Amino acid sequence: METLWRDVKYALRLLAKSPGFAAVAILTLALGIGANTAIFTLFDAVVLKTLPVPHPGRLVFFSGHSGEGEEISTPPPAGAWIELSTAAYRYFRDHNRAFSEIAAVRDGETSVAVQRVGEASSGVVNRAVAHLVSGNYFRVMGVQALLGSTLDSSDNRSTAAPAAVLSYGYWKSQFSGDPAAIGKTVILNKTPFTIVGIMPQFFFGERVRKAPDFWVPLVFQPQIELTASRLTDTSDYWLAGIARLKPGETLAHANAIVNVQLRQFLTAQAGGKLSQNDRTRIARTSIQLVPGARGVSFLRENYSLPLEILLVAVGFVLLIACANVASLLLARATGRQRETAMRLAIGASRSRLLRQWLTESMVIAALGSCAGLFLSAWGVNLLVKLLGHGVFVNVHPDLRVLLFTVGAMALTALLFGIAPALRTARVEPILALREHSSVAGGRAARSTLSRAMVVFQVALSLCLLIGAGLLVKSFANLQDQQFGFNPRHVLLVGTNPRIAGYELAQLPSLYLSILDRLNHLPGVQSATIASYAPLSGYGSTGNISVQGRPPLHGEDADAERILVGPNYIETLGLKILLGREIGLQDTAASPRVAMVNEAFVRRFLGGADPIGQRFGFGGRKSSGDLEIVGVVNDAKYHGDDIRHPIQPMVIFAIEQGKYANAPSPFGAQFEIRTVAGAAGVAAEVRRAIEDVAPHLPIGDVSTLRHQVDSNFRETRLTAAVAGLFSLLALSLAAVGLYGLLAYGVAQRTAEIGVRMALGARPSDVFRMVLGNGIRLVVLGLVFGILGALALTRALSSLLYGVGAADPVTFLVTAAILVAVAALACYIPARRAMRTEPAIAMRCE
Amino acid sequence: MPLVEMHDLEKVFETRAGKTWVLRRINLVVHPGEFVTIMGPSGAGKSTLMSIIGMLDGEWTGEYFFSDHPVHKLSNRQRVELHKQYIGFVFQQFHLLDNLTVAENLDLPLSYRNFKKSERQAMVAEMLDKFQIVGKKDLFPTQLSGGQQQLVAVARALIGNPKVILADEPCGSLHSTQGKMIMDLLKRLNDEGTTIIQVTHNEAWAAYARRIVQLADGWIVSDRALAAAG
Repeated sequence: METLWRDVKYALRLLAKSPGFAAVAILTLALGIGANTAIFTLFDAVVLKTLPVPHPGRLVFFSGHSGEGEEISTPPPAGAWIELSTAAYRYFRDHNRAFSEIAAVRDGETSVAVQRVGEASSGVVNRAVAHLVSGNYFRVMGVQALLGSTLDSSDNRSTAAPAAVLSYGYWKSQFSGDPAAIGKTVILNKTPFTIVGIMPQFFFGERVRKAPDFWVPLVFQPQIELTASRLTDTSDYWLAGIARLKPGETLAHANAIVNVQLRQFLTAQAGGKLSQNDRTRIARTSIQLVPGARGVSFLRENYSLPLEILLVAVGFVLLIACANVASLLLARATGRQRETAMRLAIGASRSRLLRQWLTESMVIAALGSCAGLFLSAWGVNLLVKLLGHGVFVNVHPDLRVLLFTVGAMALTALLFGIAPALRTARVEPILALREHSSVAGGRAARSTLSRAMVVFQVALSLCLLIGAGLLVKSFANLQDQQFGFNPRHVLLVGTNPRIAGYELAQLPSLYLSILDRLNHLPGVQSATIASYAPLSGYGSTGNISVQGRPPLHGEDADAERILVGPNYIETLGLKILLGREIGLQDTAASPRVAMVNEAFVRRFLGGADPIGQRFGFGGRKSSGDLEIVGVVNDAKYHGDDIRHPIQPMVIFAIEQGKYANAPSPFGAQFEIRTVAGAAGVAAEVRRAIEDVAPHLPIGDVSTLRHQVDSNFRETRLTAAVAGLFSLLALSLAAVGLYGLLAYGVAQRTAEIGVRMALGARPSDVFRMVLGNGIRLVVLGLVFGILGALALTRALSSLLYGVGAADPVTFLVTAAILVAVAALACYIPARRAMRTEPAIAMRCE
Repeated sequence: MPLVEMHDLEKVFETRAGKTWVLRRINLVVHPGEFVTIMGPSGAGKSTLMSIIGMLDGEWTGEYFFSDHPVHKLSNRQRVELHKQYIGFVFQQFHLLDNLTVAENLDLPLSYRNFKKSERQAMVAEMLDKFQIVGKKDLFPTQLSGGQQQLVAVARALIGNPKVILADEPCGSLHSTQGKMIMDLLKRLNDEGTTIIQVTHNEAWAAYARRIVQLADGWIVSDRALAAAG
């Protein structure tokens, strides 16, 4: 221990004596280790962190699906279920064998109107977010209330008194953290609920994001969602199952049990007589249990691959940094040969010296890591900002991040320290007896190793540059692609009249009044309303039947459905290809009509004239419900459409929604096309809506362009960070190249002097030095291109409109690298060119 | 029993051009307490002979006994141990570590010999006292004159209580006054019983020894005793 401490002290003293070397080495490592720690912190937060509940490894979900707010209203779907019906949940719960308990939650949260009772703020309506959960939810999650109690199984009864549990954040912000909140009554959508408990700060639920404001028993679904009850509808699939494995139970075994129970349930539901179709469908139906330890995470689903790619990229940066510091240490080791020889001559063993040099490397790495930790804190904040506004991610460093940093430090020290240490330890002690000598071949060997490191750095930098180039190009392609609609100059304003107490029958006049007002605002070109906007993440699908066309065996008869108001086509910038647009004439009283897209026509109508054809949702008996009056162009409404074929789509009049088994017309968005910048009219639009309907809650206000761009966040993040890392790598490689050539010129000053004395012109010397550098760069380019060809395939799923081996990207990035490398070579070459022969030879 | 005993020791470099002999049929005996000077022109093999005596070089043929240990039969590790135990080196360029204080430089060889810290501190204190450099113990080598640096280097060579001090041009980098101080010191150490073998070009410093061994082209061309020490 004493020896170690002495070596550490000596290393610190050496660094203090060479502040320039220390600063460059520590900063280089700080950048490498800091960048790695930052990316790993985010990777840890998004991919690795488990839910903050006891024994999270025993939690399982009944599906790996992370979508929310979806509802499937068809006969039990074949394939792997993503949601459960109330009946299915009850069946699993009542026949449970593999789990301690099974809970169910609404697979999404619901916006509710909140009024406090018996307080100064009574009567004020606020919006909050409620999550419907079964009474045993908290027991399954394994958490207890911070104050009061959680819900329990008695809350599953339809006769149970309405109870609600508050999240810590809501309790702090709305009740000022007052413990007397327990027992108080809040009115959620006109139903009074008693607050029975406050959850601890760390608990946010099974979804990794901001906690909902209220947890409310499932039995109050009609009161919370203000829709018909889903509790008794056996064909409504709307619940997510969460269970806790019994101690000793395995996921695979539980999965087998659940699937046997699923078939028993489906068989029982079908009644005694099973048709061949029923048997086939039941055989194809399954539930895929997935581990629940890390919760449901949209971020994990979307960012796992980008973060893995960035971890590799940032690993490259660290390798380049290590190569740079190793080069510096090799140069330093050459200068310390005589010291080494002397130490050996006075009795040091080689292993002892090896340990000392590695300790010195470790000290440099430790200082670099400390500086890197500060850099990483800044980097993590930047990364979270790049993830997007409102993203919930817990990036507080934990033990795993600390271990990662320590591991990176040790690995780094070994990587950059081992070659110089081994080189130093090979010094012969006899060197100490010679006055003007160096180790035979020592300089040449160092030089070869340093040159190899520069080639390595150039190759890695090129790989990063090419990868970043491909991602930047993809991001540009994604932004500039043809969506089928025009995302420019469209303002989106969300609303939900149900929360303000509007009834269904009141909606048409409300919407038309507001639209009329919006259409007359200065700067507004046209305004419409729709149940959701393109690429918003929302969607609703239903199973269709076309009149006179029996469904084909195994055909996917799903179609997207959206409710819209007048002027929808103009406002979104869509095109009517056939027939007419849905307009003011399409009311609740008029014949039910629909527009469909080209994909619908292709899949369901073949070559027939679509206008006048009839179809419906919900089985053959409803196949005559709707008449097609228009065909619109295909447009990309979902993230999946960007990289996959566009799906069939049906567009209804919002007034006819209730007849078409369509999504609720309550949650809707006003869409306003403006003449110029959409965001500029937001305040006026808000005022106009408030003038018409003062109590109508106005939700998110955004632009369609922003919404569209948010679909490419992962590509943007990967491109931006990979671009940053590639520039960092390029800079480090350039510094490495510069350092090698500058050191070479310094070492060869006398030789250059002799050459010039013998008649070499300055331009000859310039070419010689420049040539030395460029040869290394060219070699690095060759390896880099080969490496990039192998590695960029991993990016394929993130690329759009550009191949993994895009020759333009390869050429442009290689040209950038050559230009930067030439600059790094130019400075030492110019210095060599200016050598004075007489002075140079005196150096010898 | 001789301290150093060499029989037909030879050192050769093999190159593509053929063999280059550095030392030829060296037969040399040095007894404990002797003060021997090795002289010769550049390339005569003086430093090579010193490095072989000091067991820094193991690539040679012939027989070499050090204090009855057959060095020619020892493994590299055993040679290193023997070297650590019995040999002290003084170099022309002093080779003190600039980043260690005088006291730390003295402590260095002891630390490689696994002495306990308390023992090392006592030995360093004793050596500082013996060489009257206690006041300079916290100075760095660059803060000392050349003579003082070589003084510290001699102290460092002695601190492990070696049987022999091998001094390679100990005054080569010193002016005459400082050189005389160092040579007087070596003479005094020799008078106290330490065996000393030095390499020098300087006749005056050579005369401090009791015996001069002359090398030329790798051969010992003369080996004569001096009548009186300088």
